[in-house]
Amino acid sequence: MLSTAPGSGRPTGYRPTISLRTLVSCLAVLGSLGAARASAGAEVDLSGSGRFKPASIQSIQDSASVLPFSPADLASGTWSFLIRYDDQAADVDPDPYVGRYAGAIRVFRVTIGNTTVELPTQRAELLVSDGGEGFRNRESIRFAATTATAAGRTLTAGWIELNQKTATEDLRGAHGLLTSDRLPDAQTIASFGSSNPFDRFFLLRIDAGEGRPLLYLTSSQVSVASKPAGTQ
Amino acid sequence: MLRRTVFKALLRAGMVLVVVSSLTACGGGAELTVGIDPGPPPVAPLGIALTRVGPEAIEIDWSDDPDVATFVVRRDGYALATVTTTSLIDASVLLNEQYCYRVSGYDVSGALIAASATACVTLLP
Repeated sequence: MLSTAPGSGRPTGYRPTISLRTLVSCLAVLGSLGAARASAGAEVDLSGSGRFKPASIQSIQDSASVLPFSPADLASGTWSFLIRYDDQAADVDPDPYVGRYAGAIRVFRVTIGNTTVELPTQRAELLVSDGGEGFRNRESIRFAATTATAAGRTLTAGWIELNQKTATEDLRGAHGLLTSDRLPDAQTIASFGSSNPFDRFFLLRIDAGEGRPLLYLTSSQVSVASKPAGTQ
Repeated sequence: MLRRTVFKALLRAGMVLVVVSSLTACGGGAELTVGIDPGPPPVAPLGIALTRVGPEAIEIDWSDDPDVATFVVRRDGYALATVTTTSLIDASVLLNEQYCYRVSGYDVSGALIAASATACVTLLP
């Protein structure tokens, strides 16, 4: 039912509801919001540094010939990483509980001891699991880069964060730390609340096909921070 | 020194000694020792750290305690090993499973005198 504006005698439902000036103003505001959203989808630098338990001498000797890191680097016990990623990358996995952000990782840089290596990102993967992959009781955020090295070996480096409860719990949706498989904001990724401190770890391994890896290094003693790419 | 050692041993056994040595000065001929049961003996904390050392291997490291004779490493509540070292590699683990470890330290008499917190870890493929 139409109402009448006091004193006008004209049904308000027929009044022009928007003037040209208002329309222009709204478009300007929407345009600026769009620009702000576009700028929010910038690249993020996730960086970490810490210590790891050096591998055995045998393991270092076995892997030295296929690794860009020297035995002294591997024995140093210190490492750091920098992962630059696009926080607006699209999820290419149709699974509602698994977000696979292809092409999101732009830089994957690892420093061990005194040697820095930039891993190719063609096979790098950013994956968010909100109770997916058959583990309803587990949420995870995983950055990983894999590359082939000499003699058919595969080098994998990754920053992995897990949050999990007992097998009977279901962390999907609003029940866990992640409410969906969307890529969390940078701060959440940098300070993900794992259920225990050993489930946030940096990993480096060299595999030679099936069987035990030639080298397997991990550490949870890593300090992690994030900031917009390129800023100090 | 000997008295201090005895005192520590009795303390671990759940006894606190109150020694009244001034009885001699008051004309008494001997010390009076009174035993008080304060409840469970104190348990010293042990630091614990877990490291994935392979796709199916976890290393458990813990801090030492000079009074501990043996350490018992428990996994998910069950005794995994009794050792005199401060490190153990558990290679009997499966991928995608969570394992929780706790280390307890016992003195020569078998009394629990030190224990770690429980630490958990999951191995991914």
